[in-house]
Formats: sequence, structure tokens, C-alpha cells
Amino acid sequence: MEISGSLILDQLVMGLAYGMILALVALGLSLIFGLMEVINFAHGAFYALGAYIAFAALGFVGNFWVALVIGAILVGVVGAVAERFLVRRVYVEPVRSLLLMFGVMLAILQGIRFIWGVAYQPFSYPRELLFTINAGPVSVSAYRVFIIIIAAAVSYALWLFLKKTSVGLIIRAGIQDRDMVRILGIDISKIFTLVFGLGIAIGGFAGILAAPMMGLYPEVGLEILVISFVVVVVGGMGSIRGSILAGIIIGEATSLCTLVYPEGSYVIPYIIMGAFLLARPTGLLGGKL
Amino acid sequence: MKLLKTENLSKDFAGFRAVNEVNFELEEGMLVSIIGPNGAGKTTFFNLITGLHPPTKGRVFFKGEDITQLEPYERLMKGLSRTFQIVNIFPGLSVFDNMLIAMLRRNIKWSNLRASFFSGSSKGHSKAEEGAYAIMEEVGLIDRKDGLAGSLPHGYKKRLEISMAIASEPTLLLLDEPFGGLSPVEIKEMMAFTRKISNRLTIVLVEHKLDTVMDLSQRISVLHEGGIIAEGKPKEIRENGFVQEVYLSGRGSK
Repeated sequence: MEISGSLILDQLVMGLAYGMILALVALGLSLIFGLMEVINFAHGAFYALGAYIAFAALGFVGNFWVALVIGAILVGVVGAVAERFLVRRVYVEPVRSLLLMFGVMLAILQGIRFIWGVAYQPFSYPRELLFTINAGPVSVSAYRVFIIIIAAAVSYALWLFLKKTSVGLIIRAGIQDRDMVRILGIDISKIFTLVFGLGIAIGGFAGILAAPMMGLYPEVGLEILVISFVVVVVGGMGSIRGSILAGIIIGEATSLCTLVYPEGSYVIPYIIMGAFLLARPTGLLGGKL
Repeated sequence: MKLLKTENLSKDFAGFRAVNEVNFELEEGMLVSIIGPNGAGKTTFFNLITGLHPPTKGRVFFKGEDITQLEPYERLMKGLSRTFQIVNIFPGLSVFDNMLIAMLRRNIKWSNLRASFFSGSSKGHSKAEEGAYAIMEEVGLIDRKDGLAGSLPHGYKKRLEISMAIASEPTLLLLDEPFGGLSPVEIKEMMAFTRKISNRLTIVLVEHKLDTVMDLSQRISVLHEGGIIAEGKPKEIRENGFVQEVYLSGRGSK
């Protein structure tokens, strides 16, 4: 089969869009792990939950954009509530926090099945973006370009927040040394709630963005969870830039692999992760193991 | 009224008495040192004063108030600050960010934080920024403000840690081995620095070299096996026979 230039370009754009979705999910995971040292096994479930909430909102308001915002905010609130009442009880106990997040994941998964059923649900693209962008010989889906742009914008906004605000500074310091922030007299527990909710909201946001492209079904969160862990490992635990970089790398690698060896595209993320674990376990930009 | 007073302060660890019936007093404005060989209980004594360990016996008074039951954070809010033997800074943040976060504890109000969510320069943040700049100017860190704290030379790291400790404008500052690991030149600089900041707060230094603190301190207490065996002006301590025998003997003259 001949691989034309436009096919490659198409896959590149797809890979970038997929990669940015992965990056957003990994961002949330990385933030939560970096600050609170909780491995959020339920992250994929929240990703799916965000998409389902948006799906429900879409049914009510008929507007993709409104549903996008509602879905992300609401799932973030659910996350914040979960932190406040469940997650914070198990902070210094890694085994218990793993078990708890696993349980939360199962609960959310079953909840989704119970409310919306087990079947695949069609999530419609926003009408405004149902076109292709034609620039000379190049033709790409507008929605995918939108994903890339908005994901980049969200990442930049997060960077601004972390770099330029007092709360962001406390988060960055807390990621370095949680105890020392406490010794300085800063009450970091409210910030934990904020960061957990924020990480979940970003993950849910990614879930909504991906839903029209990848379909909506209860197990969609499980699949993204595994790959997002790979992204976090490759990018480095606790590193925001690392998550983005690694997301793009793995997204592109997967997408381009489907051109030459489709079966390999399932395995390639794990090959990349394996290589990193052997050669550079802290990941691209990470400090914590 | 004494600024700091401990009454029969003692601490046992699994049958071993680390601090033994220490009665220690301090007036505001003084610069004093506690010396003693390693294992004498100096750091444990500091930990008892700051509330890191609860005492087995005895009480701690600060500004006339019994603070024995208070958490470290609460004592900090009352004006009691300390540094640690192993430098406690955020190595991955810039020097400026380190100072900023140390300043935040004074200016942290949730209304300020909400405002600074939207703009990086709410009143709370810029008050902290001003304060951070002021201290960095004073201590000579201003030229290095954007560098990573972790890549500072050791002496400057210590200076940063002390600057962060004074950011909260404490009344009493406990310095745990501030000269540890410093070269002779750095020691001279640190001594000048300590004298400078002693103008506006009371300082207790813990150190195991007598020579270093001789010129600096108004009073020296010698700690040995958890208890104070001598206390007085530096010259008296140096000439104290018992101290020489128990602590200085075998060290010779350098």
C-alpha cells in the first residue's frame, strides 16, 4: 500500500490530537501524584464520568460548548468532594490509597453502567467544527485541530497558574517538599482539595474532547488509564512539561505506527515505557521516582 | 519577663535521657550560644522548644506564656522560628520563589489567594514580593534571586534558609549549627551576617565548636549528656576547668 504524504500528515495531526488528550490526562495524574503522592487509579473513571456528564448535559442544552464546560466543572467538583471525604484519609498509606482509588474506580464504572447503560453511546461532534481545513494539498479535520489548540491553551493556563499565583507557588513548593510547606506554617490541606479537583477536571475535560472521536462507553476510562500511566512514567512523575512532551511522543508514535504496522501501535507505548524504565527511570523531566 | 524560659525540661527516648532537667532562660535582645559535643542533646533541646517532640517532663515558656502544649505551627505564629542542621530549602525552586513562599506565611489570607488566582500581583502577593526583595537585598542574595536554590554554594544555602526563617519576623530565632560545613571564609561571613540580624531579634545558636561562637555570643551554655554543666560569659567558659576536662580535653588547641 502506498503511503501518501497527505495520509502521513493526517496521521500526524491525529497523533498530535490524541497525544494532547493523553497529555491532559497525564497532567492531572501527575499533579495529583506530585503533590499528594496518591496514585489515582480512578483517574480513567473520572475521565469517562466527565464525558458522560457532558453527554447528559448535551441532551439538555443541545450545545456542545456548554456541555463541555458543565461536564468539566461538575466532574471536578465530584473529584474535590471525593478528596475531601475519602482520599484525604489515606494520604500517607500507599497501599490503602491504591485500594481506595481502585474502589472508587469500580464504583464510578458501575455507576455509569447503571445510569447510562453498558452500550456504546454516540457523542456528536459540535456542528461548528464539522468541516475540514483545506490549505493547498493539505486537508485536516477541524475538530482535531481544535483539540490541539484548546489542549495547548489549557496547559498554558495551568502553567500560568502554577508560575504566577501564590497558590501555584504553594503547589510547586508542596510538590518538592510537602512537610516543609507545613513547617513554614501554610495550611496545605485546602490546596490538596483544589489540586485534586483540578486534576480531575482536566482529566474529565480531556474525556469530553475525546468522546466524539473515540466513542463513549463505560470502559473508555480503563483504556486511557493504562496509557496515561505510561505517559506519566515516560514524562516523569510530578512534571507538567514532561507529561505534555511524553503525551505528544506517545500519541505520535502510536498514530504513525498504524501506518506501517497497525498491530504494533498497541504495543508501542509500552516499548517506549520499557526503554525509559531501563535507561532513565525518572522519565524525561521528572524528579521523583 | 524572660523571652524564653524552660523549667526542668527533660526528654527520654526508650530509656535514654537525652535532655536532663534543663533550666534555661533568655532575655530579649540577647545573642547566646549552646555548645556541647555531638550527642549532648542540643538539637533535641531545640526540638523541645519548637514543639517537634513533646517533653517527658518540664515546661517551656515563651513571652511569659506556657507553650508546652502548642504545636510547632502555633509556636511559629507566636514568633518562634528555627533553622535545621540539614539545610531546609526548596532546592528545585528559585531563590526568589523560596523567599516568596517564606513570606507568604505572614501574608496568607484566603481572600488574597483568591485574588491572586486571577492576577499574579494581588496585594497579598506584592506585599510578599516587596518583603522578599528587601530581605534578599539585606542578606546579599539579590544577585542570585533567579538561580535555583539547589545550586547555590553551601554558605548561601544556609543564608537562604536563615533568611526564610526571619521572613516571618520572629522574635526569637533558633539556629541549629549554622556554621556546619562552612569554609573559614564562609564562617566569617556567616558570623557577620548573624551579628547583623541580631540587631532586631533574639538569637540562640547551637554549635559544637567553642572557638566559632566565642566572639559572637554574650553568653555560652555548655550542654553535656543532656544537662547544662556550665553557663557564663565566653571567657569564663573557656577558663572553666570542669568544661575543659569534660568537653574541651582531648581537643587541644587549633
